[in-house]
Amino acid sequence: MFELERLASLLTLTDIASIASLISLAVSIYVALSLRTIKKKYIFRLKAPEFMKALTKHASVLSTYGDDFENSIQEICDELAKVDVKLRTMKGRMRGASKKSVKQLRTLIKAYDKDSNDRQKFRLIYRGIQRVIVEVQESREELNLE
Amino acid sequence: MATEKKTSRWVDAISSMIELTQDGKLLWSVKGTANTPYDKERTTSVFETKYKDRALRLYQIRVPSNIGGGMLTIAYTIQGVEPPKWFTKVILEFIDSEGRALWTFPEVDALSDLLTSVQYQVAGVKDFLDTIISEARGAPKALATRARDVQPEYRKRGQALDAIIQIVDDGNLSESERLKKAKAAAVDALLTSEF
Repeated sequence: MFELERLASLLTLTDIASIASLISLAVSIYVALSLRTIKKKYIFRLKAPEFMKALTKHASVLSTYGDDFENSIQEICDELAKVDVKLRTMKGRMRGASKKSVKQLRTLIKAYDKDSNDRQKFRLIYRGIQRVIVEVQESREELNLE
Repeated sequence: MATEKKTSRWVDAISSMIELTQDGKLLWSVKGTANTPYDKERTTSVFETKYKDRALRLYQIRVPSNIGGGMLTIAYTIQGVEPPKWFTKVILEFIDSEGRALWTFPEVDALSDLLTSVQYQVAGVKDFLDTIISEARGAPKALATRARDVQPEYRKRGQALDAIIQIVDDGNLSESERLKKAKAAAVDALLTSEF
């Protein structure tokens, strides 16, 4: 108590104002970061159904191309380019496991781009898309509970 | 997290089935009369296959959407779209020797892709396309390898046809060389395979 009184007598009004400014700066940063997270969550929540629908459609198209893989390589590359654009846009709005899956999927697409005759690599992409769909769905359900 | 892993497992299983179907390792057939629990709602043929002594049945049904009110109706109204009256659902189930459903796979998006691949295989679309395209080009490529040719009992036939097609397609060979080699491969195939 004595120490506090002594400290108060040493501080001028300017010092107190400076400390208050620093505290308010810290609070502002915290609020800004929280707001950013909330904004990200809400945009994800809004965009997730549309994203899942688009990915499901791309997966179906790719699966159809897989029925005649040898004659559909060009079409597969074109479709994957579209998928990659969607993934790039959505990646920034994701978090945790979903974000990791999207990153992995994009790596798989890049690997396939270098060797588009590799059927196995193509199949890994299809599985990757399905996995992202499941994870986005799960993330959205988790957000609904928060 | 556990549910997520379980769902991923189903997705992986269905993806594997799609791959096996596309490779012709899982051969499906249309069942003329099938005793499914949803016969009236069925919108596709019933497809059956056997894998490792387990019989599987695949088909699509339509289910009423039951959108009577609430947020979903409002969402459709905002978009100016009439709410759908029906949804489709793909059913994959294990069946017993009598055709009775034993267990149904959980609903995952990949099931509709499996159905498309199965329809593609059963209808013989690949063979049809290969034949019609080669006929239009006037090339002797009507010897397309059928999905069944990758099956053990037909593998030799498939490999022989593949060898012939490869020779015919080889741009580095002259016309006479190609003919000579193709004939030799055909004779070889006739001597070594059962077709």
